[in-house]
Formats: sequence, C-alpha cells, structure tokens
Amino acid sequence: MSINPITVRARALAAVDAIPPTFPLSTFVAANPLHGMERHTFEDAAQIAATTTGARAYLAESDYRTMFESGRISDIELRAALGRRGTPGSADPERAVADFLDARSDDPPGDAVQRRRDPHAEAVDGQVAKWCAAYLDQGQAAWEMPHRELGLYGAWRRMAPRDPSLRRLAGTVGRRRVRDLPTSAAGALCALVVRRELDETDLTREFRAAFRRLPGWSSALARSGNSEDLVGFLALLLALEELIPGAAAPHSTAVDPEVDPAITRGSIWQDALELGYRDQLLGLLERTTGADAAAPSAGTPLAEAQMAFCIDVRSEGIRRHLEAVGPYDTIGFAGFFGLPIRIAALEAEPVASCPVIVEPRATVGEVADAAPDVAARRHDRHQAVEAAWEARHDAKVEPAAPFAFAEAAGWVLGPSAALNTVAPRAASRLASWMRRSSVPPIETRMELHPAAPHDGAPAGLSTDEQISMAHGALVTMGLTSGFAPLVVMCGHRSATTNNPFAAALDCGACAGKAGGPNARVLVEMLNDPAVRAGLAVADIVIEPSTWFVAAEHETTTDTVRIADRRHVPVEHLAALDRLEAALEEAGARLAAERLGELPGAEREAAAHSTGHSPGTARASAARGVVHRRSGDWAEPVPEWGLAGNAAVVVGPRDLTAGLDLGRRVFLHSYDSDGDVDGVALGTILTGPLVVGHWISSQYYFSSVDPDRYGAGTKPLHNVVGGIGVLEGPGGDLRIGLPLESVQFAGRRVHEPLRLLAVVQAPRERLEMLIGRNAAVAQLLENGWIRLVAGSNGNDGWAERRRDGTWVPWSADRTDTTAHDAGATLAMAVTPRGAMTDDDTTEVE
Amino acid sequence: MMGRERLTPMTRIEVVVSGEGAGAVKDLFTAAQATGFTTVSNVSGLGHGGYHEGRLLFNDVDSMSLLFTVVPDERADDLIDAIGVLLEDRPGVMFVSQTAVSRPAYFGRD
Repeated sequence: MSINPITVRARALAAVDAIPPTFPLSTFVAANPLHGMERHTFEDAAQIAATTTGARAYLAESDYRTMFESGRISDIELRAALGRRGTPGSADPERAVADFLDARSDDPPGDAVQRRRDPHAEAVDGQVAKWCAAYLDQGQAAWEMPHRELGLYGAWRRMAPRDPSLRRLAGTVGRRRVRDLPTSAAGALCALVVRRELDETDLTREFRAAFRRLPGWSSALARSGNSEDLVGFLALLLALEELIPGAAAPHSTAVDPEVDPAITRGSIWQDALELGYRDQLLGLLERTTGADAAAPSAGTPLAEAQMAFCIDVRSEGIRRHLEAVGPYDTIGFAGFFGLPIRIAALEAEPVASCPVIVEPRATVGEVADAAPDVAARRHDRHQAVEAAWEARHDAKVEPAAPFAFAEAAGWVLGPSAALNTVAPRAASRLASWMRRSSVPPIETRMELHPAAPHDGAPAGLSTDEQISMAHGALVTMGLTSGFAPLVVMCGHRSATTNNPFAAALDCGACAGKAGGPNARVLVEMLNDPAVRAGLAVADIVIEPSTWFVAAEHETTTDTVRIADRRHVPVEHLAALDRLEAALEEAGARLAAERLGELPGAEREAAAHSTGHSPGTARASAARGVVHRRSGDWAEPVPEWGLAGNAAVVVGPRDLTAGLDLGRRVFLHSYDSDGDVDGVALGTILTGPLVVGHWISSQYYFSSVDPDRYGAGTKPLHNVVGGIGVLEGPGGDLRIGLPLESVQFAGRRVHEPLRLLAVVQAPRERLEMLIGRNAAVAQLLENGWIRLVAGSNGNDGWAERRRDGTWVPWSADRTDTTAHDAGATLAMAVTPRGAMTDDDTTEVE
Repeated sequence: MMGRERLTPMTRIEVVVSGEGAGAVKDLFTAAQATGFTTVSNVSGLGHGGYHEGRLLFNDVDSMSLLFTVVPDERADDLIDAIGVLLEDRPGVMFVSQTAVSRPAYFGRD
C-alpha cells in the first residue's frame, strides 16, 4: 500500500484509540482513560499502557501488601484470585498463596518501563504544547493566535518562521526550513513519514506513540471532532523532530507480548481485593428482609411521597436518611431523567444536558414567567452585569490596564479578598446578596412546546415526543403504577468556589451540569393532562390526585431545594411542607455523617458545637462546616464527589433498603417482573451501566497512577481557558481528576475497584441482552466490569465469568470465614475512613 | 426511457461501524473527495462478533451506523485502502460493489 495523504489520514484516525477521552472543564465528566483499549482484556491493556507510556494499571505491590497485612485483603481472597488464574501450584491452594507471597516483586507494574525521554524530545513536546495552547485558546489569551482559520498545522507553519524559541532550538537555517514544508497538514505528514522512511504498516503504531507523548493536548484536539487538527498535530510533531537537530525519536517498537510479571501479580492482587468487596456487598444484601422482594417499593401505597434521585453514589446517603426520617419511598434513575435534550437556561446558550454517550435530540428553553416589563428590566440588568464582568476581565488581561485597574478597583477587591480568606461563609453570603441585588431572581418555567421558540434555538418537543420520553423514563425507573400523591424528581448539583473541576462534582448523567433543570422538564411533562392521556393509552395511569414536583440535591451541603413551588396545588402543600422538613432533617444527618470523612471537619465542627444536645449540636455544626467548605475559595476538598464508588445495584429498592452502603454504590431501580421483554434492562445495561463504568474507571486510574492519569494537585493548577489545566506554567494538558479527588495529604481516599454490577434479573434475560449488545459483552468478557446476578436475590446470586459461564456465589464466596462480619462492614462501607486517623493506605 | 448502458459506472462503498467510529469514516469519505454520503444511524443485525442491537435509548455511541458513498472508480482504491486501515483495530465491515449512476456530475465526474 502506498503512502498518500488519505492513507496517512486513515492511520492517524486509527491511532486515535490511544488518546484518552476528556472533556472541557465546563462540562467535565468522567471517562475511562483507556477507553480505546477496551477491545483488549484489562490485563492486556495494562501491559500496553505500561510498555508504551510507563503508566500503571494496578497499585504498587507494597500497597497491596499493606492491605494484606491489615486484613483488607484476606488469604482466602488471595487464594480465590490465584485459583481463578490457574496459577501453578493451585492444586495446593495454601502453598500457592505462600509461593505468591514469597515471590514478591518490588517493582510497581509499569514503573519497570520508563519513558525514554531526552532533552530534545522534551523540547519538541514543549513546542507542540505551546502551539496547541495558543491554537485552542478560547478567549483567555490577550492576543489571539493569528491564522487559526488555517488549522493547527497551517497556523504554526505561518507563525513558526518568526518564533525566536524555534531559532534557538533549530537554528536560523532550521527555522527557515519551515517554509519549505507542504502547506496542507496531510501533505506535510505524508512527506515527513516518507523522509523518515517509516513503513506504511507501522504508521498506526508510530502515530499512537506520538499521541501518547501529549495525551492531554491530543485529546483536546480530538474532542473538537476536526480530524484535520489531529493530522496537524502529528505533522507538527514530526516536523519539529526533523527541524530540531537530534530530536528525531526512535521508531516505536511493538508491544512485547511477554507479560510483565509485575502486571500479572497486580492483576491477582486486584482480583483478590475486588472479590473481597464483592463478598462484603453481597453479604450486606443478604441481610435485607426483602430477600424475595420482587415488587418495586415504588408501588407501596403507604408512602406519602415518592422521590426519584440520580443513581449517583452520593444519592445513596440522602435516600437512606430520608427513608429513615419519614414515610417516603425513593427510586434511583439516571439523573438526566431519560431526556436527551439541550437546555437553554434563562439568558444562556443551550447546552447538552444528557450523558455524553447520548446525542441531544431537542432543545428546551427556560423562559421568564413574569410580567413582560419585569422580565425586560431583569434582562437589561443581566446584560449590564455581564458587560461589567467582561470589562473587568479585559482590564485584567490588557497589557496596560492592570495597574489602572488595581488603582480603581483595589479598594473594594482587596477587602473582598480578605473577607473570602478569613470569613468564607460570610463572603459567600455577601456575594449571594450582591448577585440577588444586581440581578434580582425571577420566576421561570421550562417551555416545552414548539410554539414558543427560544432565542432562535430549535425549541420544543411535540406532545407525542413528550409522551414518548415520559414513558421511557417511567418504564426504565420501574414507576408505572402505584403513584403516591406527591412524586418528586430530584436532580443534583454541587456548589463550590474557585474550583476549576466543579463540573466533575455535578451530574455526570447531565454532561457535568446541574440536574435540576432536567427534573423540571420531566415534571412539566408529567403534570400535563395531554401527556398523562397519552401515557394512559400505554397503560400508565396517573390519577389526577398525583402531582409531580421537581427538586435538586446540592451534594456539597446536602441541601435539597424544591423547584416551582408556586405551581403545586394547594391540596398538596401540607404534604410538601412535611417532605421539606424531612429533607432538612435527612440532609443534616447526612452532613453529620460526612464530617468524619472531610479533612479537618470533625475538629472544625467540635469548635463550633456549643449548646443544645450533643446530637443536635453536631448536626447543626455539620451544616455550618459543609456550608463553609462550599463557599471557601481556598478549600481543596469541598466534598469527596464520587470517591469510593465501587458498584452498581440494579434492582428493587427492597434489595438495599435499610442498608448503609457508605455512598459507594450506584443504585438503579429495576422491576424485573414488569420488564419481561427486557427493554428497560437493556436500556440500563447500555446506558447507566456504561456511564457507571466510565466514572468507575476515571476514579480507578486517577487513583492507581495519579501522575499519568490524574490532573495533578490543585494548588499548582494553571487553568487554560475552558479547556483544562496545566500543572505549572506549561507542558501537557492534564487529564483525569485532581489529586484532591482521590487522596489527601498522602493518603489514598479512593480505593480503586473496577465496577461491580449486581443485577436482580433472570440470568437468561441478561444473557439475551448481552448477546444483543456487543459493547456490553466486550466490557464483561475483557474484565472491565464484573457482573453478579440472580432472579430471586440473595440465595441465587451467581457471577458471570469472562468466558460466559455463571458460577454460583455460594460455591465461590470468600467471606464465610475471612472476616469478622462487623469489622468487614465497617471496612466495606467507609473506605474514606476518619480523616483524623492515619490508618488508610499511604501513597508512595 | 433510459437503458443501463447510458448510466455511468461507479464504485459504491458501504461501511458498518460503531457510532463512535462513524465520524472517522465520514472524514475519509470527505478526504477522498466523495461529493456526498448517506448515514443510517442505529442499525441492527448479526455480525461475526454477535448481534448488534439497533436503537439504544440512552447510548448513541455503541450502536452501529451504516454509511455509504459512491465515487468514480479512479478514486475508489485509495478510499478502500484507507477504510481498510481504519477497520484494522475496530469493529466494522466494508462492502464494495459496482454501481451505476445517471448523473455522474453529482458524484464528481464531469
């Protein structure tokens, strides 16, 4: 096959699987950094990553040893993991464990292979990173990069001959040779690979190696969807290697098929750790009284209200406490409430508010629900404030303006900064008051109908589309009958200050946005008599006595706010008042529960805990602490987000009701009896399960190798427009989660576990669905997700092994003698531990 | 009435690929100067790797897409090579067949 521009482009596009998927800061959602390698087994992907980048896919051996010595991993679990591998000597399991422990390897998987870096390569990478930053800037830079319309390579080719840093690296003559390069990126790449005498069939491997040198910037280019820039990235990198003497990288070599022994050992240790968690969780489920629960709790008529929350692990806490406080049933469902839409908030552009694996199919606008003159006044003030902020930004970045800006505004910004530092909660309240004063809040509503276009955006959903979406949502969450008088759809959001990764704490199912607007949209549909009439045709009958209400759970403070209260009929207000009181109590209890996990929070609460009974004082102080953290611009850990996530349980709430799952489990409601054709379960397996796997993987890899898969530490972050962060002044854009999302002060907070899926459904139905969805089958059979299922709950659990066979849990469990039950529970449900002790794993 | 002999022979290239890979196929169609293409999202069917469900309610990247284009024969080989490269490491299939069109100018042939 000849080398020509189109085959070179195809090689570049084929190599994209080496690029980790990432998202801009404003819509940061979790993703598996090894997503492109999911076609390989987890172990093979670990080997490829270690060989090509030196990245680790397992913890260091010493970390696992520490867990073993502390009892977190038992010898029974280790024996089971070894047995699954058919490790030599497994005929005598005890001997196999002893041999395994004797053959310790001090080399952390992946670290045995160091990246071959030299100053020339560093110089090339530095140049490429610099030009990517300039090219992708989204308005933060004072001077926009000229010639951006020519693409990355074209703009560089025009600018590089005047770049003094290139003259220093390549010399005057070398710099001048830029002009001799072909004008198109594909043409240049073609010419460069020919001059380098690269074999056409090796190009995909070469290009993968090139992308892996700067995974952050190549990912930022890839997400623009413009392949021309990916080709340009490669052309730029190869051109610099040619221009800078001594910089030509050696040809990349094929991955050694010989598996690194450290990776084999890591996979066994990791299996043992995960088997332990599997058995702890299944052991917990065994304790539920609803062992034979088949009917969804959603149908219980005694509930005064039903409340649907996102499957996010943080919802488990508020659901548990709410159910303990009053006669309320809760439901778990993907937090975008099944609505594949963009939402245009008032005075804002439409943004996707559904999982990143879903293409939005419509746009819904938030519109003012007030008299026209009131809405117009508010609009004018909003515009004025926006203009003022823009002027402030310009004053900061214009070369001559900062001094004058400091003179003019320092008298107010100085004290403001001081207040933010010494009294963050007061500063937060003041800022909130100022926002309300400058742009008074206004009542709004979600406009669903196409008859009301919103600022030119393609707006609205027909009644038939609304019926279809509402039907899909209710069926998938298993809420098709037995509606309570009050049914609440509760999205979630975070509330943090000075946090570039704020979106990572918002709703992942809403593409890193707040989930409240989606809840408002679904509620608007479900209260519409025309939609209810359409649902009744599909046998979902909602009595007129049922009213739907939207709400939003603020996870940083555990505050739940009811939306659009003014629309609630008077006959429901008393029940809504009681529900709000219950939510206040549940939120206070949850905040108090979280105190022990947040660094320094217990001490801070104790200092402010005065008067009242000890329990009340603690709950009250907890509220103060979480609000302080929410508003504190210097707080590195405002909340722990989804740290600790480990499993997803798909089944009726009866299966998990009353259990403290430690906010580690995604909970998706599912009524197996009401889904005999498997449509709802198919949707769950291909949607929420995949999203859960992405979240799990992002935390996993950020935890096992924060240097390569994490975003570095917050104090060193240098925010680059809305694109991402650098750690320091330059270099590659960081991928993954910040260090403070997975560890604190050198202590690992997120215990890395691949996602465990526990599904209460007939195995035949699961097999049918796995057989129909190759992507799900791939995740299971390549060991990226572990699946346990059973039709009747506890007695019937079985694990689906990678070869597709089901092994009964009763024949496979490791927890019968391994751990003391009480101790196991404590360990299983509180991985974050008390942040005042130092008994968790030290990070190397 | 127009007989077959009055049509212009061309090459029809069909690709079935995951929704995630559809963009790359479109890129290659465009790079090969195909003047147009057709995309059918969420197709279902049985392949060597198992059955692929069609429309997934909450997932548009894992369902399969069918894309096809028609190009003059002289541009076909490079495009076929390029798509072959793309499919080396990802799920998908390509079908190539002879076809004939009545308006060759629409397909980049004067």
